[in-house]
Amino acid sequence: MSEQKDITILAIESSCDETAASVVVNGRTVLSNEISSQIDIHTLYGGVVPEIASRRHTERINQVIRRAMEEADRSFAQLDAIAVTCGPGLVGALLIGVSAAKALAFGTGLPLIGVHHIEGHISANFIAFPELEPPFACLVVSGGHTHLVRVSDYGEYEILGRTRDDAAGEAFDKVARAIGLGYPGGPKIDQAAKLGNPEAIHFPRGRVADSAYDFTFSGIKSAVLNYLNQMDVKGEAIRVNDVAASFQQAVVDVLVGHAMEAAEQYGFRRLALAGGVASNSALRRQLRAACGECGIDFFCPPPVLCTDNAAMIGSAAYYEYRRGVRSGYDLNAVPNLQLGERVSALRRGGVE
Amino acid sequence: MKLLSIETSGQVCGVALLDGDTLTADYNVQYKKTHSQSLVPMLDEIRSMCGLELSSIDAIALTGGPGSFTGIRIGAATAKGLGLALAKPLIPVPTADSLAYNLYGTENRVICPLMDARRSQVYTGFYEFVRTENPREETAREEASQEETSREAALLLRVLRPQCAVSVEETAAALNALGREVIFLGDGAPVYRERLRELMTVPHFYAPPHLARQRAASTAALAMQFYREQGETCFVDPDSFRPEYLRLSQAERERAAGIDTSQVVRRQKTPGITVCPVSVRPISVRPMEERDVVQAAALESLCSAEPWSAEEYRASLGLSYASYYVAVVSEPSGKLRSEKLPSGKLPSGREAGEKPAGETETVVGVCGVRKLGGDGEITNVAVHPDFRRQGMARRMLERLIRDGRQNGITAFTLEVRAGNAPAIALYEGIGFRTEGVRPGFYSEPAEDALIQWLR
Repeated sequence: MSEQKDITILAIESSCDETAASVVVNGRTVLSNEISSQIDIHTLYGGVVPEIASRRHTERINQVIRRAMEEADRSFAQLDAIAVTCGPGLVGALLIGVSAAKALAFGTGLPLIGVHHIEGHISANFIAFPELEPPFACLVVSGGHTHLVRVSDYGEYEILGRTRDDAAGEAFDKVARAIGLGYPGGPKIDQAAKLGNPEAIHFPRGRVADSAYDFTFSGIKSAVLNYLNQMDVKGEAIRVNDVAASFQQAVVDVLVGHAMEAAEQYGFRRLALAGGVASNSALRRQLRAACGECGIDFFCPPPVLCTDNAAMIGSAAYYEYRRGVRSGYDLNAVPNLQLGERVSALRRGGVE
Repeated sequence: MKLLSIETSGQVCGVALLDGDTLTADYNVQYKKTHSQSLVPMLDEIRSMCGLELSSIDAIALTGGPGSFTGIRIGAATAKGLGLALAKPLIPVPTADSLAYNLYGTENRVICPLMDARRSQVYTGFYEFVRTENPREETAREEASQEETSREAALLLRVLRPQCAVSVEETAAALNALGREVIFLGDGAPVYRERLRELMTVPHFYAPPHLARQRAASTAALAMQFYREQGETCFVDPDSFRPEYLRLSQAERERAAGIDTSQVVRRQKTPGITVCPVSVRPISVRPMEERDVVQAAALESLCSAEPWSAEEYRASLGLSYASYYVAVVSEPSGKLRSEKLPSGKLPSGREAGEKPAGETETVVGVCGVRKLGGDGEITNVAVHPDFRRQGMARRMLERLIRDGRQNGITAFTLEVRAGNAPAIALYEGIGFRTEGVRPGFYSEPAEDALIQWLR
């Protein structure tokens, strides 16, 4: 690939509550990475309000794209493709990025590439670690997703395990709300847990009966809620920091346990972490330690590349571009798009 | 002037190309397929069919709302992206205006587009075409030597009532009050046809299928008309354009209404993203200030057959014997409002680079009292249709009464339509009792007024 012409891609991401755009060269070099967060407004509601998110995306999308182009010092004529997250995510939110990206592709005549959001999260590792190449395993943990994935080649993914109920980040949000820490739950629990005893309360580590690597977090969440109710009935005060630390430890144990069991069975030499919950300090620390004990190379991108961003979409899009993948103008937002799913509508009638 | 037009506000997905007075293409589809999948392929089709060089377009016209929230956003995001790619401005057209423009030539009749807004409401507006001086008078005068007088005239769309979200009952009452023939169109027309048959007292008609829905060509033609009348002031920068929803989101309404939804967990189809509102900040009630009068008048025009104007409110604020109150919803972030940004001075996309959020207050309730001796005559009580039945009027009145008693008012009185059961229940709940009747006091429709007192 090194002798080929540089490929510069403008990528757009609007799947949840961040409006983001980025210009990425050859999937690894980030020229700009603009993110307009809506966290202030959603905090008022204790969670993402889809209609408000969609409205905010509509207002910000052009500014964010323009800013990304200006920071990258590129014109549309200097681009090779437009990429956009087409799923999974909130459909109304996704539609803003998808509609804008299609209009940009149509207006400029550039090829269009629809990208899977999780493929983006995994690809954040390509940006952070230039030496990292497939094959490797990746644990993707975010507010909406929990996947254990084998990346056998660029654009080739095999899901080894996924959550059967709540995503890990979702459990963080719900528990944070229950113990009065508020939204967003991940960072708040992480912070509170640093002051608490992770062994103060034992919450059960759930397992899925018929699958070695699928996850379940609803049991842990329910156990926390039951504990809170019991304490309430007894009229005893809870120690928020201890509950946060004990809950977080249960989730981290499950994530690390599954990842290490899979690493042993499949013989992974490299394990990457991705997704918003990858910023969780306990998860990073304990997964790094576990990998160290087993002689596995551990990769984890910096937090700005873990939470939703468009640079990761630009990276994933580059490898799709190299594989000849192009999307048609009928590209749609697919809220439940499965990883690795080659939806014909997404790839049909590609334009270049 | 060459306009590309986009129409996605309702069930129709449409694109059109208007080049001066020539409608080069007009492509509308009313079918189940999502606008998201259809819109750009349709644009691409007219581009290739008409050999359109996209860079030759001067502006992009679109219906700017109201309509389906998702639909208008698909059109908005597409128009914004296209404007960005081509460095061209947008010309947004109010959706109801665009619909009304379908019916050019219906002089003397009121045009009433109806879009189903759900929750027993319609997005509507009232329009008429009025004869105007020959727009080509200048030319005609020059040619006067050849031709004695020109018989050419033009009809211009006039807005009788700007687009709004109201109940079909209020719409019918207001149309009946106008006393003119009405033509209905839009996707709300079939939905409310039965109800309108009961409510309407003036002759009314329904537009035939080829005129009855949004059309990209009408949006384009009306945008062209805007350009001819206003020049470039009708242009909107694609970066700062925001659709007109005419409504807050459900979460904002509930929060504003003080409904504690913390136990409600909204679940999207997408697994994992949970919405769970926590502490809900209630609406605040405070004395009316100068800055509120325009909003207060606009609110009253939604609620009253004889609304006070902003000037009347402004004048009343200066009266020592009168007190007015507003209920306001604070929109949490000023950043929601897209300020028109000077070109080249775009805000950073990052939160850190942004100024602290301001608060924008929206007036959703108004009430007022005049002190006459020891009596307080309550002159206005109005609550925005979206915020009714949520205890807001009661809160405003309780504040009014508390302050009034401190200012020496010993008894309060008001008049209410005999048929306005919700209002009567509210007033009786506060302690008002009916002590008299004014027969036939109200018009449109004629109705008795109950005189109530709180002593």
